[in-house]
Amino acid sequence: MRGRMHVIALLTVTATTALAAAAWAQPARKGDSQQLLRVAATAAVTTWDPIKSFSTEVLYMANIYEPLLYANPNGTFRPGLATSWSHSADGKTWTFHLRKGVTFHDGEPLTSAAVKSSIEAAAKSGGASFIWAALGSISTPDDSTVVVRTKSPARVDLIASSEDGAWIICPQALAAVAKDANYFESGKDCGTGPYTIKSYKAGSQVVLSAYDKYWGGWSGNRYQNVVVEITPEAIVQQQRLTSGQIDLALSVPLENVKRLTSGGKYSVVVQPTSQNYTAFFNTTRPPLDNVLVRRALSYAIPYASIIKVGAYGYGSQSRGPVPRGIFPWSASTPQYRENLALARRLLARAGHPGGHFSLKLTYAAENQAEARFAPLIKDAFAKIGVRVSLRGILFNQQWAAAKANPKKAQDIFLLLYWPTYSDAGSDNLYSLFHSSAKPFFNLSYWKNPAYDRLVDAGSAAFGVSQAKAQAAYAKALKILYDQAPGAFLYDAKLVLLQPKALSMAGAANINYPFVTFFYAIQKKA
Amino acid sequence: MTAVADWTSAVAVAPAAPARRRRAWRRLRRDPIALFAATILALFLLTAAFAPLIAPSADQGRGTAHVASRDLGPSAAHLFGTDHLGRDLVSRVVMGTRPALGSAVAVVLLAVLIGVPLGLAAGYVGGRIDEALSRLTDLFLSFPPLLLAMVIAALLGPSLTHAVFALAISWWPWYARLARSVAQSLRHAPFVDAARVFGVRTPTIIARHVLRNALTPILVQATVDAGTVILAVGSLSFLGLGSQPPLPDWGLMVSDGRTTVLTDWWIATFPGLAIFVVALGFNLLGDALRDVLDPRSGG
Amino acid sequence: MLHWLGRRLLTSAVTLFAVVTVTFLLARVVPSNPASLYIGPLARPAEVARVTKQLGLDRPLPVQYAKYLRNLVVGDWGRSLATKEPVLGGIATRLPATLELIVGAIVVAVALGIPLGVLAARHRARAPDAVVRIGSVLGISMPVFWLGLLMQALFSGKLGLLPATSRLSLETSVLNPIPHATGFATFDALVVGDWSGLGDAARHLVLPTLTLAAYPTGLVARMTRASMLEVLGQDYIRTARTYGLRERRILWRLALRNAFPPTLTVIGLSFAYLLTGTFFVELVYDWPGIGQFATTALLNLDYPVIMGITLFGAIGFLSINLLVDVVQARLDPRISLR
Repeated sequence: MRGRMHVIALLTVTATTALAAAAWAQPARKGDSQQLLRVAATAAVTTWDPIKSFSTEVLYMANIYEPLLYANPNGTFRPGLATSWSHSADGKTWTFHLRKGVTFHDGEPLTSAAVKSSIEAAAKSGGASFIWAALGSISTPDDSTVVVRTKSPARVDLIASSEDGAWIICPQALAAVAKDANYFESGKDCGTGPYTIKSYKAGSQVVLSAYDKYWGGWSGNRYQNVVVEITPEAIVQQQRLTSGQIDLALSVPLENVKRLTSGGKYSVVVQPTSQNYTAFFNTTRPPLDNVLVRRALSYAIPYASIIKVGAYGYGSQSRGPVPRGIFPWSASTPQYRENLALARRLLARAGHPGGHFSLKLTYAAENQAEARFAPLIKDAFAKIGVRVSLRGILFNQQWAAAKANPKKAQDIFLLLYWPTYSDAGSDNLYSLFHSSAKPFFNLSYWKNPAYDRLVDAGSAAFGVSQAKAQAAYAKALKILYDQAPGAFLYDAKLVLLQPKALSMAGAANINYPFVTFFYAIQKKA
Repeated sequence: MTAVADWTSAVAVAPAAPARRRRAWRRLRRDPIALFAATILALFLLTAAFAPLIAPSADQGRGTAHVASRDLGPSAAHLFGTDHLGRDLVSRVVMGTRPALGSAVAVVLLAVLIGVPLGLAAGYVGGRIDEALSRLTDLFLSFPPLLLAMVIAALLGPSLTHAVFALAISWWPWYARLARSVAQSLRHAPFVDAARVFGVRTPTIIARHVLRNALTPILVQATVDAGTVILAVGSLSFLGLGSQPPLPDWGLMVSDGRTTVLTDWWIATFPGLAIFVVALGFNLLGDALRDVLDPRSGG
Repeated sequence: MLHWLGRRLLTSAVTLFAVVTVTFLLARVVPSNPASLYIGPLARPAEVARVTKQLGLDRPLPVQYAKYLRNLVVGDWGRSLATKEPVLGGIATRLPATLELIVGAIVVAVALGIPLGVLAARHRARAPDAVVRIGSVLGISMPVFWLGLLMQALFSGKLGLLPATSRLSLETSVLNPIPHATGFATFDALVVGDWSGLGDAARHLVLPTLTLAAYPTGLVARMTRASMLEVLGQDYIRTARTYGLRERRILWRLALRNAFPPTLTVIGLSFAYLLTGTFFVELVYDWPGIGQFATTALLNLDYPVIMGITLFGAIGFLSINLLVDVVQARLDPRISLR
């Protein structure tokens, strides 16, 4: 008995050691990454349904599906599935001429009927259906012409270039999802774009492979296969990048960017984005119902420090809630500058000499930047005698609490926002500060009829005359500056770590937040 | 009662005579490890009591930023370096003794205050009350404690207060069980019978006689638990479910330092070291107490 | 025995029912934004209302509760609000990865802890005893997330010996995938003879397993030492010695066998630690297991997943406790299951 046990034990130990040694000795396999682009992204997939899609999965959607046209960073447009378009003088009839020779991933040709059903589906039940609020009717005089008629003048070119709610999907898939709401969820797609879903592991990995009949062709050194590792932690993305596991990390910790680029393997690409940070003041309650107090606080905010610490320098101070580079941003919109002495004087004029009141500030606990710069606001306000208590709450709860009861809600709400499509007039100016019966994004609960009129006028004019809209919005922005229902912190910048081996011109576009166009990435020869 | 519970509740049954306690105290005083642990804990307690005076900059310890001196390494001016907001790390760690020790004491105290009376009552009286309590403790004990605390803290909203509350809710059943088994084993002890014969009322019996015997195992358990709670609070804050900035919570500081652990290693290392040392102190002291007060353990 | 088992299963079922009810109530009572999580952060009121209706969140609470229970029983644990992934399927997919870590940690704890404990008991009050005692206390006092960060920084970042994150390299998982049999990467690779894959999986397993094993190793070492000392001091051991049995034989055969049951209890108890300890290990090492699933769900307030994982954790925990009790009763005739 003893002998047998000893033999068994000896054999087990020997076998395990041998296996371990053999396994350890194997060199790490070098894969054939000629045609494979390995990417790390934080973007989780909340749905594969292109109609419902309105969240982070847009990263993948923008590579699988295409809109009628694309908005260029400089305000012009580039043909997408439509090669040319025109509109009537009254801005209510828009005609798009479709590209010939385009097929969907299922082989069916692109027709105007497909465009019509895609847009109608988005307008009816899309996640971002509100962008089509002005939609009247769509007619298809022939297979490659689409005529969109709207109820009021609208910039259908801008709307149809949106990254949410404007994808063109094949009729078969639309019919299938009408029968089974979860049709797409296992990882199916049916777009016209350069990539199609090869495999999907929920929460872990998306593999895209090239659609060989893509109308744009596959010339050049483009990648035919892209594997995206879904990695929510920026530090892990960095670890994967530096260990050679991936070629491209879409979000590395900002504090490490300088060190990573000093080695020479990467260069940093900094681009403006349409995302900005706003601090809403609760205007329903004292002391923030007093405009002088709000102005004082606006002067007390340490804008430069916030950018240095919150964004590690990758940001620019906001001019109003409109992000720089998005209509109707203008360099002549006034902005506050840090001026503690002036802040103290205004507080005294407001009837609060020396401050001596407390404010509750809430921010999204999972937002690293807000967690970094919220303490700076607290410290700065302390210098003028205002006590701030910080509450980091998970965004969903922070928002639910703010919408529930304005009178009992926070005093200051920090929000990261971006417009759904590149019209910050009908989006930011409207969503963030137009009065509403029940609060939604207007977390200052501010009601100003003059402002409302101007914003409404701007929206109405935008479909016909951009200049008229800009003028109305400029007046509205002035009111925001004077009345300070919120403080406008900074516009975030996109920081992309570009490997020396890759050319990434055109991969990022301010009008397409959270999207990297993999088709535009090429291996340098 | 399950075999597992038996193991946790093994304890001497005889009433603790004053002489035995004195002997135990003398042995404790001579045990070098116990002295070492007690010294460490005393140091931390003192630091917590006088934190604003000890910290080089109490303000920075509390969270005031000093943007000009961000990410500096350990030096004469800043023994532990500075963090991402330029705050002196020695001050942060020193001011951090307050939330750390405070939360540990709060959780253990709450758990004892809830669990012990319930357990004593259930164990002594028996019957329906005992059944009800057993069902209740079974319910709570069917969760890994930290998981329950995480869920409660997430649902209530991350904050130190909610984390303490959540941990106390997860911890009280252990004390209830402990107290219950002591009370059960004493139900028919001679001195208890005598008290009953003399007409002493039940609540008094429980409070005076039974409790006194339960104090020892509870004390030992509480000491070791304090260490575990400090680890738990730090863990919750590390995940983002506990303290929120700018509170000087050690777990939160380790999380802050995670992205730069290869370059600015001090930001994550020193706060984690503090958690480690305090937990070590509680564990060592708890061990020593168990060795001295519970003659059946293999010390 | 069967009687006892039946009663135990019944009480466990009642407990699980209570667990489900409590988590359900907690999740519904607390304000969150399930519809926003479902659609996206910028969803407008009309869409939010439509989704709220679709998810049945506007129905009265008892109706929602009844529907949830009905679905639970047939195996429909709901879908994640964030990813639309079926909760039960999601748990099943990620479970093998977490089990790899847990089983690995237990194996390390037993393989290291028991011999160390025996060594300490054998050389009581001398150097080996002190080393083991100090080492085990260090192990159980170490914050697991801190240890993970430091080990990762040292062995991967500075020394470059081992991979820093993930379970498999991309070369393996995308280009040469290990065929999926059990979901355990090491086992599956071994079975088909994929040596490269096995090596890859093994290399990635080292750091997270060692990090997770620190606490249970310390615990097992202490427990083994304590129960060995208690057993070694007993009469029959002295008798065996006077009869001339060799010390080594006494140690390993007689004493260890008697010291095993309490050690088994410790392993069962450290399961609670292991289950939640993986949350931190998986976070630091980006290990695709249940811990990551849970952490993401907790921070998003993705309550179907939270409820599913809570229920699953309770089931697992109760089962392990049951198992430990049964095995203990088998091994130690003094313990009876009444």
